Amino acid sequence: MGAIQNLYRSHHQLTHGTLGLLFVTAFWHWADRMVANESFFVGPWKVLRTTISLFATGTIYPHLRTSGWEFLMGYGIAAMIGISLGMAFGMSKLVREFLDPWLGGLYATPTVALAPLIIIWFGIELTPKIIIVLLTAVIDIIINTYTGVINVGQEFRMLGMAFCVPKRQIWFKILLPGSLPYIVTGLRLATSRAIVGVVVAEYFGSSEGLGWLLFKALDTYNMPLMISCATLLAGTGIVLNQGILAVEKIMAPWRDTKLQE
Amino acid sequence: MQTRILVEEVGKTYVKPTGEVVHALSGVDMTLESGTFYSFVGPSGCGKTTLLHMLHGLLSPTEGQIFFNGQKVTGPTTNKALVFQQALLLPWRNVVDNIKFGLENDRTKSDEERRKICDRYIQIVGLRGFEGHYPHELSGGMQQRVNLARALAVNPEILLMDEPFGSLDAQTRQLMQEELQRMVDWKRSGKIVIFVTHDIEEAVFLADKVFVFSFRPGRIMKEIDIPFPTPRSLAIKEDPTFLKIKHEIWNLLAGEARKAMAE
Repeated sequence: MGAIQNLYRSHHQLTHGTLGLLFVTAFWHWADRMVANESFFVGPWKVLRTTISLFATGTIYPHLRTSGWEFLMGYGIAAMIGISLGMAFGMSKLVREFLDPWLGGLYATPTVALAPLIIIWFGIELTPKIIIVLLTAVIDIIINTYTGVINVGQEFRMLGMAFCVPKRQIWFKILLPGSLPYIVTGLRLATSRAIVGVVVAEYFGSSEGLGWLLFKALDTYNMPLMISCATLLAGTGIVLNQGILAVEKIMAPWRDTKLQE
Repeated sequence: MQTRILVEEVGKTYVKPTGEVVHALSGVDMTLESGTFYSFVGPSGCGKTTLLHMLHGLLSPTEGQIFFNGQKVTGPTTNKALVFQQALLLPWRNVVDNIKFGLENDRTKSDEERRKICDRYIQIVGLRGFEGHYPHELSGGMQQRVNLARALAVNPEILLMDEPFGSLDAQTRQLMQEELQRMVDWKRSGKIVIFVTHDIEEAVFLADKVFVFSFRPGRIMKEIDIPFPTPRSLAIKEDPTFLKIKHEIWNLLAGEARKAMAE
C-alpha cells in the first residue's frame, strides 16, 4: 500500500492527467450508449478500433509522414525565427515600438484567412504548407521570448556591466539563459498552434496528411475516421507538450520545480 | 605602490522619469587609502549607494571627479568589484559557476587557474560541500557568501559592498559581520574596502573609518576613526568607547533620519 502511495505522490501529475482523460472518455462512452446512433455520434471504442485498423493496415503512415514533415519544417523554422526576432524585440525598444502593432494584428488574424493567399502565391507543394505552419506558430514564440528578455531585469544587466562582461557575451551569459523559461513556454504553446496550422494548410489543396484525411472523412461522412484523426492530432499535442516540459526539466535543473506547479 | 582613491567635489543630480530633479549627492571630498575598511552610513536616500556606484564607474558624477591611482574613473574595470545588496546570483548557475562569473572575463587566466581560485574562495567563504548547489537551494546568508566570493575571486584592489547584510536575519547578520573580517582580510591584501550600510552599529563594528552622510543631497557630516584593532570580536559592541561612538553617530543622524521619514 505504501509503495502505491509513494508512486502516486511522485507521479501525481501523470496520475491526475490520466484520470482526467479516463473520466471524460467514460462520459463519452456513456453518452454514446445513450444516443446509440452511429451516423450521428460515435463512441470511444469505435474510434479506438478505427485507429488501430488505420495503423494495422498501414494506411495512416503516408499521412503521418506528410503531416509530420510539414510540422517539423514549419515549427523548426518558426522556432529559429521566433527566438531570434523575440531577442531583437526584447533588446531594442525601437524594434518593439515599430513592430508591436504587427505582432498583435498577426496574432489575431486567423490563419484560415491567410492560407488561400499563401496557396495562390506559393502553389500547392510543401512550401506554402510550411509557411502556413510557420505563421501560425511563430507569434507565440516571439511574444514569449521577448517577454522573457525584458523580464531578465535591469539588475542582471547591471551585474554583467559591473563585472565587465563584453556586450556580446551578455547575450549568451545573461539574456539567453535568463529568458529560457519563457522561450520554453513559447515553444510549448507553439506546438499546439503548429498542429492547427498543419490542419489548416492541408484543408487547402493537398492530397495527403492527417488534416486532409480528417476533411476527407468529413466529406464522406465517415464519423469514426474523422474523430480518429482528431484524436491523433490531440494526442500528438499532449505528447509534444509533455515532451518539451520533460526536456526543460533536464536542461534547466535550476528552475524551482515548486514555482512551475 | 600605495593605491588610493581621490574623490573631489563630487555631486550627482538626476532627473526622475516623472520630471522631478533629485540632488542625490553634493560636494563630497574624500581620500581613501589601501588596506583600510571604510563604512558609509546615513539615512535612506542619502546617496551613499549612488556614491558607491560612482566609485565603481557604473554611474558617473554630474559634478567633480573621482581618481583611482591618479587616473580618472570613467567606467567599471576589473580591479574594482561590487557586492550587491540583493545577492543577484544567476539562478541557472550553481555555486562554483556563480563565483566564476567575474573571473571568466579575465583573459590572462587559464581554466585551471580559475578553477583553483574558485576553490580557494569556496573554502574562504565556507561553502565547501555546496559547490554544486543552485541559488534557490541556498539560505540568504549562503547566497551572500557566494555574492562576496564572486567579488573576491577577481582579486579586486577596491571592494565595494552595498548593504550586503541588509536582508539577513539579525543573528546571521551578526555572525556574518564577524566572519567578513576574516574573509576579506583587507589589511594583508592591501584592499580598499567600502561598506555601505544604514546600520550604525554595523558601520562602526567593521570599519577603520566611518563616513557619516546627511540626508539628500548627501554630504559628509563627519569622518570618525574607529580606534579598535582588527579583527574584532562581537564583544566590542558592549565596550563603552564603542557605545560612545555609536551614540555620537546616532545624534548626528537622528535629525537626518526624521527628514528621510518625512519624505
